[in-house]
Amino acid sequence: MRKVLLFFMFMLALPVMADELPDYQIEGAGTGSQGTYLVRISVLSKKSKIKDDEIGRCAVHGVLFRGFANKEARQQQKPLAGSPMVEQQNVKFFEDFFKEDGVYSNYYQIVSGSRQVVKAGKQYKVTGTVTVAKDQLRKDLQDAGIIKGLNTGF
Amino acid sequence: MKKTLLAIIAMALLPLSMMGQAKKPTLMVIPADTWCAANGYMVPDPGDQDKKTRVPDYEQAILENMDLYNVITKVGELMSEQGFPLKDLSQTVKSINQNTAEDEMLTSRTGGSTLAETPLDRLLNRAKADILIEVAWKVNTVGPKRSITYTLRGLDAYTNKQVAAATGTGAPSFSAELPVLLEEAVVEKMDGFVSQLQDHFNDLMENGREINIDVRIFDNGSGLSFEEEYDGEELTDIIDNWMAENTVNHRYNLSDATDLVLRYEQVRIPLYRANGRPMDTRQFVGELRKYLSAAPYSITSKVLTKGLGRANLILGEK
Repeated sequence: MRKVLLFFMFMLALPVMADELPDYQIEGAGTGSQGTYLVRISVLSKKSKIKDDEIGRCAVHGVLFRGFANKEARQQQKPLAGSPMVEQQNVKFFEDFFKEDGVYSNYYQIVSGSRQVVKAGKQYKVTGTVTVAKDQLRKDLQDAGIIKGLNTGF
Repeated sequence: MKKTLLAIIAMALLPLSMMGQAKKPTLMVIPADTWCAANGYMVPDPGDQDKKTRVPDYEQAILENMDLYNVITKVGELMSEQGFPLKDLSQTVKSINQNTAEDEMLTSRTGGSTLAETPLDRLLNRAKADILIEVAWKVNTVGPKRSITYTLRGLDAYTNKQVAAATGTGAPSFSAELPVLLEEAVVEKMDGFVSQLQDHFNDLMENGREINIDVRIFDNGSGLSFEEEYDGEELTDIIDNWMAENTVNHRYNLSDATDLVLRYEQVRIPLYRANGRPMDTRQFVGELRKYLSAAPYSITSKVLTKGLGRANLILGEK
């Protein structure tokens, strides 16, 4: 009976676990073309095979809520959403937004040939350069009323 | 009956919808004085008889410097994407030139005093830009490598306060041409700048626009002073009470009060009048003028504005 209960609890938690973002780092990768950001994402994982989609999801999340910098390219950008609090204030919206194959997949593109895998201790560091369509992302989130635009209130 | 009811409801809702249409602040990009000086676009001030003061020559800078033209156009393009089209500097300069003759006639009619306006004053008065965006850049060369140090500064034309800024030096390049480096710098710095501008607009919406007001008395021998009493209350207190009643959240600062001068700073005026139309410095001070001209005070006064955010109300005569 106890085993059945544990199995059900595991099954209930599974969708949440599947949608959780992996441990990742974000940094600038130079100036993107107009309307885009170019970022480098490093995902730490026990598996060496990580889907491109996972890297793209981290890139969109990082651009929105973490911002990024790059000392060599003398680059620094604040989070597009303004503050990480925006994610907590709109939990339901962003759960749907970042679910597997969610809306986020419309806003990124992996730069071909940029993927690298390096073994770091017991883990793998999977790195990829990603173009994020930040202008379109900002516009769509403004239209959805999630973030404020310069035009808001006028 | 139903139609009449609907019409009444529509009429009742009309002012509300008009109130919702807030006036957008207007923005204009100009080259910073430091950039004009470094690139030889400073001329003697036409209003200064000693010719010691030098002022920027925007018209010549726009005509001759293609990089400046490109930077202004690019900033304009990026701001338009944010829903904020800019006032165009070159068109404003042309409009000023067309109106020069008009201004000269106006000067002679008002009694021979000269119009003491710098090119910037003329720009501000003509364009009525709420925010001026100053741009400046410098090319750094180290051996074969070149980089750009770029500065973007948003100044509130009402208070001359810096409300947004973005500055930094781009990555050095061996091969990129100057216009490419400049474009990269503009695109790179714009988001940070817009984010700060957003904070300023939020503050405007919440706390009103900031202006400065000096209330003075004409020295015409009438004996009027701010210590004059009306129903046992001094004129200083009467004006101060009016300020408290009419500023947003009673926010203002009486920084200097003598028997002949009251100096108000950081006066937060509402963005709109009671009828939903935009409020500006002249109209706000005009309301105080009307209040003082009514009984029991019956004080004649004159409103003089300087720039967009400073006004003098001079009591005693027109």
